[in-house]
Amino acid sequence: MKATNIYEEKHKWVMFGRDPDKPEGIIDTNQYLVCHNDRAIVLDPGGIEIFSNMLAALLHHVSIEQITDLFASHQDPDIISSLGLWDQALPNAKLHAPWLWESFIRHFGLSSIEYVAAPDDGGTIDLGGVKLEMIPAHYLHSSGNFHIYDPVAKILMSGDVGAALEPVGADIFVDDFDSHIDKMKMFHQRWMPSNRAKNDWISRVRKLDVQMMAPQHGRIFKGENVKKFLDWFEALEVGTAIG
Amino acid sequence: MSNDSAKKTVKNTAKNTAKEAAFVSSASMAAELELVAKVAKDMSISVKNAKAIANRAGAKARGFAPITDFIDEMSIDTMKLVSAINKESTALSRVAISELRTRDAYSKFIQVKNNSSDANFISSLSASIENIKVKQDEEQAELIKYAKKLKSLMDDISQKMAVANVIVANSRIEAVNAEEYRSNLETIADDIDKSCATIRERVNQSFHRLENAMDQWKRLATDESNKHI
Repeated sequence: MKATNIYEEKHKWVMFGRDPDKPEGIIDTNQYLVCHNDRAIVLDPGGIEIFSNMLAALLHHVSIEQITDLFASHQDPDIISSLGLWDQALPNAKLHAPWLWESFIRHFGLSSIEYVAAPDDGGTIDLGGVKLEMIPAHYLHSSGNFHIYDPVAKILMSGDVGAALEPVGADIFVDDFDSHIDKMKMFHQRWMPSNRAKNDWISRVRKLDVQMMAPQHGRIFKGENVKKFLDWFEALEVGTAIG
Repeated sequence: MSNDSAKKTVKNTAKNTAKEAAFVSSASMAAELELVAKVAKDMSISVKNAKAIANRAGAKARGFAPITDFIDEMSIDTMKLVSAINKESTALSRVAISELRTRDAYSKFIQVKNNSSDANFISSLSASIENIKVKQDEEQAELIKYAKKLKSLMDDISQKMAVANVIVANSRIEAVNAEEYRSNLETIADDIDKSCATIRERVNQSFHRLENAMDQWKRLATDESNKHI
């Protein structure tokens, strides 16, 4: 699994993905690690099928004891179906996830890790001094959904928003925004159900200083491309499957 | 069902059972033994009929009353045993699933350890591996405990059925003296005999199913542990 340091100043952000060893037929996912001193959090740790590669990749950057927190933006299997295995590896960790999905996510196997249910209006995860904000992103696409904003690194981990369907070998960053549109248009039109929810999220995100928008699939948007994405998304009609 | 297709069914069942995971076997077994409870209940009703006939027959069927009491008690005990088996097999299924997940996690941790020896923090995984091994050992011991308990409960039912055979044979002798009640009592003895045979057959099948599943589980567990040595 490829690991890319995307921010390394006061603390560190690492993106994991583009796994050449992932089994055929499962969607490629991006996982993120935020670490600060002796604490680390894994954002959307991924599905059961990529657990071994993900754990191995993480141990190049942090020790097991350092991983004190996990975050699941929503309940999908590619986000958190590995929970039963993390539960065995990190018995003292906390899982931050939407309150709405607690009784559903527990079906993946949770007996040791503590489920910290995030209320609808979000909250803060304090990673030993680094405060990560949980930004409400309900109905984008899941009915209980959060993104993570780091005001120091100015990174927004945007879950499925900004996602693109690409081959495993794709670049990490969006280079040419216009040519990237084709790879994400259908995804957003079909997976995002509500224009109202979309616009609410855009107005919320426009108030933040976002230098990097990091989705769970596809490429990361940097600088000017973040604004271009918000403008494009604002104009896009979503929830198209109902005709 | 023709003899050939019956043989084929038995062969297929044996083949499937041999491949079956312990948690599937225990769940299937509980469902199969539900029929035993039903047959035992029917047996209890037959025995109550026999008792009523014996009462009407009076002195002609004096020897029948203690026999019916015994079989009635035995059918109630069988129903209780089936209920206990259900409870134990559900517990066994739960432990077997948990053990399977623990084994999977253990296997994945070992894989990471072996394939990523160059990772800076690989040694920090050792404590997790040790903890999970302890958990796995505990679950395996629990699994063996539940399997033993289940076998012992099934053995209790088989023993009761063996005794019932002797009792039914005695009841036939008693029926001979019951004159005009003879044919009714013999029919009831036949029903009880058939019920006992059905129960014996079901329990035997479940017993073998459990043995096969446990053998399969032991083989897999040994293969896995050899793989990690």
